[in-house]
Amino acid sequence: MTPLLDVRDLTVEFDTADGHALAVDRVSFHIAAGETLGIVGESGCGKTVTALSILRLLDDEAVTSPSSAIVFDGTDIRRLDGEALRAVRGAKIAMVFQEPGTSLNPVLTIGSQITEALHAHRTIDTGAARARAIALLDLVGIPDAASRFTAYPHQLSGGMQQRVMIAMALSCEPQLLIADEPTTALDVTIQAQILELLQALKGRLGMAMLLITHDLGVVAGSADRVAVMYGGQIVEQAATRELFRNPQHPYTRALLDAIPRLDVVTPRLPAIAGAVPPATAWPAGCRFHPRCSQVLDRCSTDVPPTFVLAPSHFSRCWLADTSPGSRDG
Amino acid sequence: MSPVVVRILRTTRAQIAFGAIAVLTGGAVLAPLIAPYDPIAQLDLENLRLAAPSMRHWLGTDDLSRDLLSRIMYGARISLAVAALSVTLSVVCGTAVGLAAGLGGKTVDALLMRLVDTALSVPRLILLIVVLAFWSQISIPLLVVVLGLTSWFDTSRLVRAEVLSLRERAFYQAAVAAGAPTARMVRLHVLPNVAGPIIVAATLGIGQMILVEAGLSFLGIGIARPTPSWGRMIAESQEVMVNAWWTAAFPGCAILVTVLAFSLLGDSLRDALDPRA
Repeated sequence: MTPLLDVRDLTVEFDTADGHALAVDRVSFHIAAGETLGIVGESGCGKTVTALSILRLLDDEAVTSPSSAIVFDGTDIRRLDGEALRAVRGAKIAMVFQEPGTSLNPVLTIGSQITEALHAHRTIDTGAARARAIALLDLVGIPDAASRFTAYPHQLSGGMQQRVMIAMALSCEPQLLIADEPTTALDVTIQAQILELLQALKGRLGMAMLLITHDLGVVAGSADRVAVMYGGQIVEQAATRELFRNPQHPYTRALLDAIPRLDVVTPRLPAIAGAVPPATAWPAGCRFHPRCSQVLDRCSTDVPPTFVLAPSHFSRCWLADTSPGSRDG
Repeated sequence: MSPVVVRILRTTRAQIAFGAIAVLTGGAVLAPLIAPYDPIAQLDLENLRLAAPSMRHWLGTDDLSRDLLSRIMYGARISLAVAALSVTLSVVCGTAVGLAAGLGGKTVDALLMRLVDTALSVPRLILLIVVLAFWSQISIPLLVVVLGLTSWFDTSRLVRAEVLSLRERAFYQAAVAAGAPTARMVRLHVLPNVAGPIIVAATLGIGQMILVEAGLSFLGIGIARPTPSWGRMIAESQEVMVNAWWTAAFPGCAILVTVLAFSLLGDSLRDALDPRA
């Protein structure tokens, strides 16, 4: 079965004041219909650029390499233009952003913003659009939806605003929902509610989801598979359960070690030494080697390829190299 | 009244501005009904030349024995109408160019903004004198068009700047991600968000426009005689104002009050429409 979204060798470069930045480097992943893929990584690892490039929302300064392919439902999104691209945005692939407070237009009522999303893609009369918008608000768990229809964004709490954003994203029943840090700006109890809501809606509407987050806890409960990004590359990719149980890349292990646990007494949480290097100056060899606790000699010179550990478990680390003599160098 | 109007009228400043503008507009509109005399009639060249303010002529008369109060009331019609119409034209042009520059991409933006820079580098009064020199007789519609078409440059930059900052806002990006067509983007997401600054700029612009119109009339290149205009009245009083202060003082006061009222209104609008306030 062909996947719903197939991203192959996605490479995105920027020319910045500090030099040439390789923000995303040959990233490949796929999402099947109805599946949830989580992309996890620190700030600056390229996860948001990856998400934005799927809908071609990057600035003109960003150059996507010609060898990249973003195939959605059989069409390469990179070849679409104007109208065809607009017909995909919002209708087939919808996006939920990090900051619900700023993602809503402050001068329009939430009702008109949801009906707007409907009018953008469908021929629908005002009354029907209104009814559908209220049904959507109800669906995302906004109490007393009909009276909230005329509310302005500032009259809602952050959690409610994010529910409105989700209602807008779902308005045209997209096949894929990209959620870029959907819960980061919300407090923890609301985070859990929003994640539950996304999970429930996904099941109900049968859509696939690309969940982007820096929080492994978020993907643990929601994603079927997880891709860990570091330095613009996917360093490890596996089914969620497998990744948590059997992490192969030292970066993934370090991230998992940095999660506080209730069942183990730790005086101080281990942190990963150093910071993510800037995208203009990736280290030679493996990009993680200056911060890696298990660094080998060859890590600083040879770029590790993606090793296949199991049919759906990949790691971009020399430690995963099982070929003869691989540990000598 | 709508909540916005109530919010604007909260301050004394705004109440004074609204009051003054209401009186001025009322006087202008009702001039044919309430003005005591014909503004261009020379009442009595022998006995009423430069008559001081009195019960019969509240603001006195000029050197052609015309009643100043009546002339100021009729002059208000010209000054306010010219200012309001030319500001409207200027706002429409400025908004259109600003939107085009802000949304049209780098080349269009660079082209339009360099054009605006060039236009802004010419002093406005000199530009107006040069343009108006092409006509021997200046009618009101002509003046409106010329004033409007030579004053949108600032507005276009204001609108462009607002659009550029809007485009970086998350909700704009979210709307792009939702596949909203460009026309809808402009109507729903751009215009309502730039309306506040535009309204403020327009209100302040009316005061400016009244000064420009007065300046042109003062220089003798405004609307043709004998139509009363505040600037022309001050110009005509030049030779007699030492002996008859009222001939210059009252038209001057009319300009002062009008400009001040619109400035105060503009400031009040700015405060009331600023969501951060």
